Amino acid sequence: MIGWVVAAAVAAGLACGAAGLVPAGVVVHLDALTTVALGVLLFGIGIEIGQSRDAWRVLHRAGPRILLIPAGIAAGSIAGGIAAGWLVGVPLRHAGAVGAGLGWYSLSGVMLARLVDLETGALAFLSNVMRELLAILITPAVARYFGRAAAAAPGGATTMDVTLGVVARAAGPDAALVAFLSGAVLSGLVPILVTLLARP
Amino acid sequence: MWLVLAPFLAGLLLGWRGELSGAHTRAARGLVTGGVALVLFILGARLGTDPALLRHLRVLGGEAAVFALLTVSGSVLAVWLLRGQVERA
Repeated sequence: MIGWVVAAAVAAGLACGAAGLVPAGVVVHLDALTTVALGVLLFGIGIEIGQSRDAWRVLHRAGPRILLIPAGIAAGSIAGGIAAGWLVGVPLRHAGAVGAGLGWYSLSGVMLARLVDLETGALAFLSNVMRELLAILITPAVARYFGRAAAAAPGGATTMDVTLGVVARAAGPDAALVAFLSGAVLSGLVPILVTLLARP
Repeated sequence: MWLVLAPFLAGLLLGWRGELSGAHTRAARGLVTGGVALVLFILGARLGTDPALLRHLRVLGGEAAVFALLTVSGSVLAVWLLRGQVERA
């Protein structure tokens, strides 16, 4: 059910935007609207997680081992980026840096445009936009077939905000708490990993 | 950062105190479902109204799709391989 809701919402937004149905006066405020909508969404998710005693028990029992999840997500994404670079002919170091964007398209795109070149920046921007869209679409299936812990994996750094709602709906409040923490850790890692991989 | 964290922490505190009625809890659920749809609609609209993105899409779209697919697959596979450690935790 949630998969259809997210697919329909993104498709409707894309179609309205591309068809020019979003008034110019609204377009300039889309950033601010995103912030407000995210605030409302995160407030609701916060209530759900706060009410879930299971979520806190999971976190308490797991302790520092919970960091294995963001570590695995980052390592897997960089490895996937290197594999993609090998396939399409992008220098492997730069391809790893694109993978280290972890869905944070605005930051990784700007950083790689400065650290490497404009084309790599554009590739990072676009591939991380696609990662976010893909995450929105496949997270329910990932939670179902790969386990609820893996629900945090597709979104990468974005499970701290945009994709957290999808994780919460697909895998429950305890998985959402883990995903939020994972997203926060990964958001801190993106600028470090992108810089380390992009610089010679 | 705080624009994201503050409402989340406020919701956590409110939920943790356990003083919300059933109606409020149902309202929070509606907030999440409606919020997901709204955030994603705006995300789509932002992408659809970005001419630079649409231009890049034509030039680099295929390569970017390969990157998106393999980075997501790598992350899912890594967490799945670590599932023994994660579940033990």
